[in-house]
Amino acid sequence: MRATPHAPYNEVMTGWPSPLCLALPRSHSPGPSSATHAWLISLLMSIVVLFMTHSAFAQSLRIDITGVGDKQIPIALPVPAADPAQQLFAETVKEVAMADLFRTGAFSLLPVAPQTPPLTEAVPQAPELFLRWRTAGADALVASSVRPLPDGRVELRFRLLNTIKSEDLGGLVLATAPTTLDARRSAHRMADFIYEKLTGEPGFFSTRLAFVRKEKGRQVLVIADSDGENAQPALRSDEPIISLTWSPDGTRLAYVSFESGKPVVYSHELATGKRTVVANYRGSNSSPAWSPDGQTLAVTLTKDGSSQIYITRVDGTGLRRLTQSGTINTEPTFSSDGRQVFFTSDRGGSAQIYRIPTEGGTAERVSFNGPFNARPVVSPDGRLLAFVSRQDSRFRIAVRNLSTNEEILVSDGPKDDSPSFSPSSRWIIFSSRINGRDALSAVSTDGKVRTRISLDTAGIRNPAWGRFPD
Amino acid sequence: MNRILLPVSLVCLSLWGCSSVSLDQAGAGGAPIQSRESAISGGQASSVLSKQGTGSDLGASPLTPDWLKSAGYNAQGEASIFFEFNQPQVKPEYQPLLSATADMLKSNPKTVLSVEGHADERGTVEYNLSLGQRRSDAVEQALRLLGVREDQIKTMSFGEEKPRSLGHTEADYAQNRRADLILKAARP
Repeated sequence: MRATPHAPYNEVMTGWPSPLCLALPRSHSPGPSSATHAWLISLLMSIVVLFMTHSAFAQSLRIDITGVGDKQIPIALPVPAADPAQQLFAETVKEVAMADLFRTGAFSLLPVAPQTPPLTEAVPQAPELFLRWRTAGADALVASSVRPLPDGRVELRFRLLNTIKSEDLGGLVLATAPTTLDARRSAHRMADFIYEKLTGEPGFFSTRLAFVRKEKGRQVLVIADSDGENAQPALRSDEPIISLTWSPDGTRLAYVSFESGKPVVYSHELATGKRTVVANYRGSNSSPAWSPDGQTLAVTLTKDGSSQIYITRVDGTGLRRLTQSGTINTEPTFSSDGRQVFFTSDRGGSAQIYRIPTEGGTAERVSFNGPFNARPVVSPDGRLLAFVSRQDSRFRIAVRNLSTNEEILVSDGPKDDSPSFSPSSRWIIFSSRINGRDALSAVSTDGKVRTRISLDTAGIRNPAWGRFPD
Repeated sequence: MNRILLPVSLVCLSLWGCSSVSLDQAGAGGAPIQSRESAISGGQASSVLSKQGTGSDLGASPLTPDWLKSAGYNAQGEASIFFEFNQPQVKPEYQPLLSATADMLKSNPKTVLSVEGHADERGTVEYNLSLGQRRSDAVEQALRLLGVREDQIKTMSFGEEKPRSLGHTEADYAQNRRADLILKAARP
């Protein structure tokens, strides 16, 4: 059984030119447009955007969106190229940025015909400009341009305008190499900027996703962009790879690999491809979870005769047993202050979620609805707990507010698993089975906006959402 | 800017080297195996094993086709124990298999048993890994009670990762709730 670890190319690691802001940013968001108008526009745009997404990117990747947010901001986003040589770059930027914004369910994207003269970020901000676009149905407008630089690089400049309040919300200048990869990256940065200005929430489009692609007996651990594109392999194996989890600083991934013939926990440094064995004891070693300070991991070991949770340093030293009871204790996850560990246990007769102090002590049950509750994970802001709950015969994702103890179901199953929060704590990505195939789903934590990412030819599962890039 | 993947670094981690000999290539020559087979011409498994004796260490595998068949293993030295839903105990119908296995292991200290636990797909990946391990541990426990030494048994779990049956019916799930026993005669 062979497995090959790599150091995947990760733009977060290798540097990124810092953008210059063109104008003072003002915090502001336009008011909602009429619901029917927005719905009709978004319906039209949904067809247009999906068509463009499929034709522009001849990958087997497919993204479907169901459900919309409560409020949709209509936005116009033309990206003209100063000369034909940058046409493809500009098209890529526009389509990727539009798809990013569309996927959140918070925007309706207006169709924009090419403007004469081109609408660039240097456009004079006269009242007529704001009126014209407001009348066309846009609450927000992105004025931008793509031009070549003398050194062979390409520069994307854009400015975000609020047409309702006739305000300039600022923009960025992004100079990069002229490749499609850089166009995607610039697009994600632009979408992050727009998203944050118009919703007040940090954009997550520049974050990375790790997941496992399974095809004809081969498994590949892949690190990809937030939209599933630009996938780089970090590990290839003939045997299963499961339970991916990012270190808090985003430099390492811990996971379980069966490449040696049994489940072993590894920590994999992404920039170098260097791996450390965290746990390889008698029996099974699995279910790694990073403490918030990145110094220790909780793991599930069976070396003492039953599945119990232990705390260990990353290099495997300092092993300490945390749980004592029951025959199955697994799926540990730390609270955001690191002082508690939530976990799944059968000590009460069925799989339920418990909480125990990290230093050891009495475990307290926290799940009470239904016959099976497992796989807890705490949101980065510490407010929410997501987990897998069995309802009738369907395994669905549930979200509980840890202050109010209110719980909602945010997915339908039948076999949802491995929930992972976005770094903004607003979205959850998880494994699900769609039309018989393993795929990824993302859902807003209120359950209203749902996205699916699936591949034509392979199953994908075990997602882990990376941190915000520095 | 460099767009090429950083060079692949191959990290070779052979952490669980269990040397084993396939049944086809066991032994140093034809004659010893043939003489063993002629001694094992039928009869109960336990009497067969006692005829093999413990003194002769000619390098031939004790896992002969006849023994395997009578004990309940296939020709590759594999057998499966199936479990009821949410029942970790080994069912009584597997006692003969366990006894035969225990006798073989006790009489042949170089023989090794791997027990790989599995679970059906219902539930979560990691909980199912633990369920599979609970099943393989139950088999190990039963064998230890019959006197087998700890270092001759290796347990692990595949959870729901390697189902035998890919469907989603009760019959499929029953096929996947199992522990696979794999006997190997280590090369002396």
